[in-house]
Parts: sequence; structure tokens; C-alpha cells
Amino acid sequence: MSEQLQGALRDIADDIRARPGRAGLAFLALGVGMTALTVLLAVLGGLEARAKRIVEELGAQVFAITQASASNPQQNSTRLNASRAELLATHLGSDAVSGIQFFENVSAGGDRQVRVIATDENLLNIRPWVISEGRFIDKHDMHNRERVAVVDAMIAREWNWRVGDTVQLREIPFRLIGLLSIGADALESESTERALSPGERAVFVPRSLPPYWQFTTPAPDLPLDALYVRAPAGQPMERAVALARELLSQPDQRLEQLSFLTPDVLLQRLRKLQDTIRFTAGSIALLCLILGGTTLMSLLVANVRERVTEIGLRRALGATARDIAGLFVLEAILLTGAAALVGALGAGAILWLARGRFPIDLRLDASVLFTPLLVATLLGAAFSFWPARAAARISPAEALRNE
Amino acid sequence: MRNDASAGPVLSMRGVWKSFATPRGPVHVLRGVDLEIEPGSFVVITGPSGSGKSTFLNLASLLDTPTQGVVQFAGRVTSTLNEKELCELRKERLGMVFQKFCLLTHRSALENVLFRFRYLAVPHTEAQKSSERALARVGLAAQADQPTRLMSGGEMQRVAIARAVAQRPDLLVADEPTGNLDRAAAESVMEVFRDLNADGITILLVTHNESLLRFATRHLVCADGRLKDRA
Repeated sequence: MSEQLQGALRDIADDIRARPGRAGLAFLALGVGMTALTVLLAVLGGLEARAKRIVEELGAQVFAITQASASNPQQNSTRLNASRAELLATHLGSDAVSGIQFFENVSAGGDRQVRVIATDENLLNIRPWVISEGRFIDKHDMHNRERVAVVDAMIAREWNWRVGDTVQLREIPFRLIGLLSIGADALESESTERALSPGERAVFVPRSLPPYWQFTTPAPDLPLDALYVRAPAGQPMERAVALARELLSQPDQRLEQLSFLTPDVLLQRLRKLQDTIRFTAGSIALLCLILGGTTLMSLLVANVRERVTEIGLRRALGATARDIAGLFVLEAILLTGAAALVGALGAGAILWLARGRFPIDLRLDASVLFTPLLVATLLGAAFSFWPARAAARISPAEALRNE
Repeated sequence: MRNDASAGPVLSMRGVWKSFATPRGPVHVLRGVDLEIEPGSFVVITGPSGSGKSTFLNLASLLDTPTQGVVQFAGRVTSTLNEKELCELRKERLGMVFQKFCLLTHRSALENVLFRFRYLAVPHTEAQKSSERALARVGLAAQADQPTRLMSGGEMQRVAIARAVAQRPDLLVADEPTGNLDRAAAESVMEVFRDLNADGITILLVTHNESLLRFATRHLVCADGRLKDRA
């Protein structure tokens, strides 16, 4: 560290020692502002990360089409079904559409209950789930109506199921062919739409199977609970959604009460929350920072007034006007920087300790801790500008006459 | 980098006027001052209040510039220098002592003397040695670590003198250095000035106290904005 900088730091420490009350007040106000800013950044960062995770969990370029329950369950013609999935696949790509059908509370032997999801081989092309062991349902399984099952890796671990085992679903034997890592926590907690998340204890089976666990005879065209669609690469999702909407709205389709769940729709609630937090916490942080900044400014103005003789002495000893201005600016930046550091670290530590009790995720990375430092530097420089300029403009002869 | 000004006067003024604008028109505080201060001299300026002594000292200390005329310090015409060059001259070649000492009262005597080097590119160890030597020179080596707020007026002024001479100046300017001191303290301070002058430091001192004239090698009287030599 240069001797000039050491000298400046010593001057500043000396000044703070001489006027601890004022410096403490400014430090406190700025510290509160910086704490509020850190909390705001951590919460907004957490929400942003959550939004990103929701999109990731849904899948890149993916949207879901669901339909409200039918008033007349027998009216299959007005429900989403395999033929509608094929219609979309014809226009959007044969592997870009996957249909699912849920069967809740299916007995899996003993008192075990699972959620059976009847689907097709395209599901993993669309949803970002990963096979951790074995394989997923393929065309062959679909075509031959194989009694195979893929289960969530978590329940396989819990119930000690292994690939190759035979598991019972409604007392029908199924061969376990794969384990799936799903991890769709954010999506599950963000949307009440059950079609978006397989939930815990999910078992996937080919949807071409006659559902012995529910029907005694195979239905020609079973209704689907949801369709997952991946927009073609390079094509805006809005266009694919518009096309799907148009196809399913044709008079001959007679489909009603469809919901198109795109990432934008899913994030609507989150964005509203983000905006609210940004506005409320942001206003508080801004207010605290302005309060801290003006306190700092008044501290510096008072300092300049009290230190006129010292300014004269410094000028007599060869300090330039720039040296004098720099002294006050540096003092302000150090004070705000220290307040920012303490505020950010304090807030960071508290948030980290209490992270489990927060209803939302918090982001506590370097950017959350360094942004207040950057803001502090700018704030210190901005609010010290006028006092520093006034100090620099004091004539040395006038300053020494003040002696 | 020092000019080779040792051959000529340390400070010279030719036809120097200093005026201040007021609502009732300009006030001429200095009216055509002509002066040369030779190296090694001990110049004492006396004069009534309002005669222009402080204004003259500000010009001599390069803290102010004349309205008219030429001020030459160490061979350089000050009106041709920019602010940075004036600051360079002040920090390297001028020492100043003030009536109320201008000390940083939260700091020790040594730290106050070290403050002389605050804007000089002198290594700390060298500055420390020079400061200790300067304190010893004014008889305060033993009180180096004492906070100046606990010192007597005479001691404080001696710390201020040590600060002014820690970096050997071409000219030591003192504005009423004994104005706040009792007689004994004033005497001890003047003894210090005399020792410094004996060591070759040029001194320019302003005072109301005519009893201090016995220390001077030259006496100037300031009256009506003019400076005149008094035998």
C-alpha cells in the first residue's frame, strides 16, 4: 500500500476517532440500508433462480395442454385423447408431443400406494427427466403393450425395488425396466396443476396398455389428462402454442376449457411476487440509502466546516485542491463501503442461518454480497461530491485566517 | 528539485498590489510593495492591525497571488506557476508557523511533525528520522509520543516549529507565533527561531510584540499597505 494511501487512511481514522458520533450515525443509517438491499437482492435472486428452475423442470421450449374436468365423463369426443396428440404431432413433429393419463392411489402391494402415469416413448424427449438406471418405455413396449414400468428412483430406493424386479400394480405384475430421476420440486410447489408434476411415488407405464386396474375392457381412445408439447427448435414457443391452440379449436375437435401452460403462464404468479417485493423492499432500501446518503452528506458538510483550519494547514503543507477533495470522497467511500460490508455480511449471515424458515429460496452468492459494495461506492462518491468540492474550493489563505 | 536560487534573494516582490473587491469598490490592502529577502536573514515585520501584514504573509507563503506586480520565490515568478507547481513549492521549500499552532490535537507531537511529510514523496523511515531530529532541535524529543492536546502553549508552538522545519525550508514564515503565549514561552519560542536562523534558515516573522525585534537582523514596518525598512 502506498504511503500516500496509508496517510489518507490514517487521516480518515483520525477524523472518525475525533467525531465518532456523527460517523456512527451515518454508518448505522447506511448499514440498515445496505442490509435491506442485501435482503432484497437475496430474495429477488432466489425468486429468479426459482423461475429458472421452473422453466428447467418443465423443459426447454416445452408447454403443457390440460383440460378442465368434463361435465359429462362419457363425452370422450370432447376430451384430449390420443388422436388429438397425433394431430399435434403431425404438425409439430412426431416426437414433439407426449400424452399422459393419471391413475391415482393405485395399490402397489401391501399398503403401498402409487400414482400411475400412463404415457408414451416421447415423454423423455420433452420433459427433462433423466433415466438413472435401465431404460424408459420405448416404441416396442408401446406397440406390444408390454407390462413394463419405470419408477421414480426415490421410491425404488425406499421400497428396495431394482431394475428387473416384478412389481404389482393392482395385483397385475409389471416388469421394472428403469429408474427415473425427476426432481420437479419448484414446478410442483409453484403450480396447482397436477399434470405438470408427476408427484411423489410415480410409476410410468405404456399408455397403450389396457388399463386392467381401472377398466375391464380396453377403450378405443382413452382420454388424456395432459399433453406435453415441445416447440420445434428455432421456432418461438408462442408460434407453436398458437398453432396448437388453432388446431385444437377447430369446430370438429369440440375441445373446451383447454389450458395452455407455458413458462410465462407458470411464472405469472412469481413475477407478480417479484414485482411486489421489488417495489416494497426496494422502496425501503432506497429510502434507507437516501437517508444514509444524506446523513453522510451532512456529516461531511459539518466535517468540512469544522476542519477549515486543517484544510488550510494541508494546503499550506502542499496539498492540492484535488488532494483535499479526494480526502473527503475517500472518507465517504470507506464509510459507506464499511457499512455495506457489515450490512451485507450481517444480512447474509442472518438469512443463511434462517434460510430453512423462509417460504422462498434465497440467493446468497458473491453478487448479492458485492452489489451493495458497488452501490456503496457509488453512493459515497455521489453524496460526498458537493462537500468535497466545497472543501477543495476553500482558499488556503481564507482557511488559515479561520484559525 | 531545487532551483539554484541560493545566489539571489529567497523572496522578492516588485510593485505588488493586492486589492479585494467590495460592494463599495476595491479595497487596496497592499499598495506597491517592493522587497527582497536575502537568504539567512531574520526579518521581522511589525505594524498595526489592518495594515496588510497578513495579506503580505499570504503572498510570501504562496497561499495567494497579487492583483498586480511580481512575486518571485526561489527564483521563480509565482504568477507563471499553476496550482500544482505552487503546491510543490509550498511543500518542498516553505515552512509555516501560525499563531494558534494549527496542530492535529488527536495526534502525538511526533505524528504532528510527521504530518509535514503528508504530501511529500519521502519514505516513512526517512520522514520519521527527520521528524525526530526536528523535535530534538526544539527541545521536545522526550515528549515525542505525548498527545499535543496535553501540551502547554509554548510546547505546542515548538511542535509547530518542528513541523515547519522537519523538511528544511528555504523560507520559514511565522504569523504572530508568540501571540498566544506568555512571556516566558514566547522567549523560548523566539530562542528556537534564533537557533534556526543561526543554522541558516531564512525567517520572515510578523508580530505585534516590539520586544522581539532584538532577534531580527532586519525590521520592516507595514503601514497603509506599504512596507518600509526601519533601522
